[in-house]
Amino acid sequence: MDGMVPPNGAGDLIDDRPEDHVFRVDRQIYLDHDLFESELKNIFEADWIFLCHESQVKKPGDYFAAHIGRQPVFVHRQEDGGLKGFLNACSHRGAILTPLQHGNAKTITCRFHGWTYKCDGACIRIKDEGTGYGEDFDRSTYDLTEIGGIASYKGFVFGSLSADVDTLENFLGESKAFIDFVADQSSEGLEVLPGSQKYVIAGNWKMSTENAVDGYHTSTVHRIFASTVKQREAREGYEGMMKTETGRLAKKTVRNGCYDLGQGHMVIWAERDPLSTSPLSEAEDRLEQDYPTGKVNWMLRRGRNLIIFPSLMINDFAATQIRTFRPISADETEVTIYCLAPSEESREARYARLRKFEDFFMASGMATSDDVMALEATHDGSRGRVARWGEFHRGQGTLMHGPDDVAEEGGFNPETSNSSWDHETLYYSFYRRWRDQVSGS
Amino acid sequence: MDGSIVENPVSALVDDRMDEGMFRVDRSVYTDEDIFEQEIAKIFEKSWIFLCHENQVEKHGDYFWTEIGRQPVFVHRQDDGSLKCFINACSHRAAILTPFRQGNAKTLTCRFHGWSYKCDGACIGIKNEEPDTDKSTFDLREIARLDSYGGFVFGSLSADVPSLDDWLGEAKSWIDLMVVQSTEGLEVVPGSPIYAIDGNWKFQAENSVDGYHVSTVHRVFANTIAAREGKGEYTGIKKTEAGRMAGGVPTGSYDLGNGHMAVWAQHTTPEVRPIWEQKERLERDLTPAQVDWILNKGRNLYIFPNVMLMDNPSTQIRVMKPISASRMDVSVYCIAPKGESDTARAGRLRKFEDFYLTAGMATSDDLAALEDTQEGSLATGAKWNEFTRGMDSIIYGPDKEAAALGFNPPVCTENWDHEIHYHGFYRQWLKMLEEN
Repeated sequence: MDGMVPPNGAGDLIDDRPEDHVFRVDRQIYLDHDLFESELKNIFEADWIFLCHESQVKKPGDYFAAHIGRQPVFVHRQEDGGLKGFLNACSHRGAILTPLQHGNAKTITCRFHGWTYKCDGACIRIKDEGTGYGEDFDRSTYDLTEIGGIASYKGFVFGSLSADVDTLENFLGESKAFIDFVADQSSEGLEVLPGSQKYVIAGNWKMSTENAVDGYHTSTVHRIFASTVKQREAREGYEGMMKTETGRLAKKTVRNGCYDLGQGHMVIWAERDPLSTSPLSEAEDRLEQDYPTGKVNWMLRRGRNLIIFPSLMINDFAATQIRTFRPISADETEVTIYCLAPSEESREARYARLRKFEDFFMASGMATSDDVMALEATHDGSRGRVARWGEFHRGQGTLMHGPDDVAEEGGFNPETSNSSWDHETLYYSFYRRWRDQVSGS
Repeated sequence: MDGSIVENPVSALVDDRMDEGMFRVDRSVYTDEDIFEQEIAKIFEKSWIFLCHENQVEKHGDYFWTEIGRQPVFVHRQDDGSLKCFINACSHRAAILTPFRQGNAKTLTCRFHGWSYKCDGACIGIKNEEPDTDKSTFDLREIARLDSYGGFVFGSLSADVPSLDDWLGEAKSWIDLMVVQSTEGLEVVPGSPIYAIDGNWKFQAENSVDGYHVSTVHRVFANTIAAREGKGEYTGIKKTEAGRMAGGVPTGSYDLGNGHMAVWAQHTTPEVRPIWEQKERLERDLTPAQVDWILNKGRNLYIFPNVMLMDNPSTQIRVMKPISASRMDVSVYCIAPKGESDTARAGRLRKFEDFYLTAGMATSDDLAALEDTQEGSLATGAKWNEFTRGMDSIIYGPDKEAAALGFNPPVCTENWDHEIHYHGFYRQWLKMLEEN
């Protein structure tokens, strides 16, 4: 390939023949820079992309800087409580306007030439306006450019550069149930805890997306994590919530599975064992009161990793987490992670949640660092062009169309279900959507 | 742009409609790698590029290694006192020949396989040479043109360029304002930092003649200096000339033709300038207009495409090397009249450090602004950079200050906040990109 998308578009790159029990992707999709440009244009810049959580822009004037693909944008909480999204570029010379990643400013003044914009994007001051422009000068020509769409679902804020997109609810489809399983854990709302971490992986963004819902690597890559925490807990006598929930790390002791939720969204899950280690376990009675048991099973008793196409992960396993994958180039991905928690939880639960978050997830944690290594090794190995295909056929024998018993309990309707999180059938709608969008259809 | 140059010719990137009061540039000119490749081929490899100052290669055998676009070259002082410039690549395996950025070597020996070259480029040594080898086949490749003006050395990879005199055109009288500050010549003071900016080279070109950012970006510098000097430890030449940062002083900008540009601002305390000690001599030797321009007007000159000569808080040569659409290297050199007093030299160096070094208090703020601008330019939904400030007060031909000195800019404005001088820059840029 090397700079050459096949003549019939990305179709040749996804060998999708379910009737022959074949589903494989050409490893070039992780490497090719022309394909990457096409991904930015036809996926990231053409559809809904997660920007931030509402708790990060709570008060009027709160802003949050993010990216849609490679384009800098920011979300700004309005006086009337609404949210607007703008391109993060001064109308004069294009400088980034937000002084920090997030903060509060009812007006934003560009640090380069001092132009000022109100919360609603109106250009309200041009330095020395009177000495350079003619009589008919119209300052409103320099209002900030709003993005094509901004909407939120249960506190998760998404934006689109294009105005020509489906509603956010339609875009989210069956993944909404899994957002609910997290968002409904709090009666007061979730909050993103202060402090976040960014790190860069020398690997393609799709490998990070895959990894987020790959149960199969857990018992290999995270064996080290499991044995380390085991020793630590034996030595230091951790009790209750402070213990690490390791059932899923010990192979085949708990029930687990995966779903292709359709539209490129996907999820893996595993029963929590022991449940008492979960910070949310303190809310068991409240949840049972407020929700049907089938839903509480999903909220509390099963750990879940959700991917919302193309690059948002909402994770409720070892701790609760938002993770975003920002594509920098075909070979580079910037990851940002935030710990997410119910506002009303006890100090003890919050403390345990944070320690679990640090243990597993941070670049300085004991599991993410192993993931990063695996992803970089995979990216490097993909350069071995003679071994062309990455196969995704594990689990085809047990593939089930529509919901299984636990999906019915949760009231969601996946495209396919599978009985082990080791299986790879959940990736199909992701790569089908990817193929269709990259080809521009 | 995403590589779609064909659909989007470069002419569409500069929206030049003066009759409608509009001049704007598509921000993809700062981010698109295909455009960058064209700039290297059609601008940097096809025009006069500043290489070094003669003082950096004063003695026989002195060499100076720099780049034309991305191509490494070095200037070498010959036995007869003239200069030659060669592609800095061994004829054998292309290794860089000069062991240092600058130094002295009457012959250069490649550190890889030991081939040697004389000062004039002749290949004089091939390790374990085979019989009947014609060593002259391996002489170094000289660049097409080399010339200097007032001690400033320029080279071109292309032979098809105008004379250096014609190319510099109206910028020459601004170079002269530096040169005549010493009867013994200028010298580049030893020590020069190189720093990288994650930004397009044109942002640095713009920034060097952008008066409008000074009162915003360098307010921090001005406040810091005011606080420092308020403590009373700084007097005389040690004080900083701060009038231009406070605003309200006479200023102006010039489009000097061929893409060259300049801005100036009146000094409020010219007596703090290191050159002030030479006032009497200057008044004796030069015209009153030259003296006024040297002593009373801080000046930034940009010579298309890669060099800036500044005589504002301190005197400086700043050279840009484009690396990619989103990255450049910048080298800064303090340049000073030979023979100035120790007090003046110390004052000049402290001012140079205060403002211009990456460790200084102003350049670091410029870098933040330029990198913010690079990043913001990726927001392609906000497509245009307008250069319309000052559209209502353009002066065609010389204003009274230019007339007094005797240079003839095609366009002036009487305010360095204005953006009209950039029109000539972008027209030159477009003209060169459109040539085959």
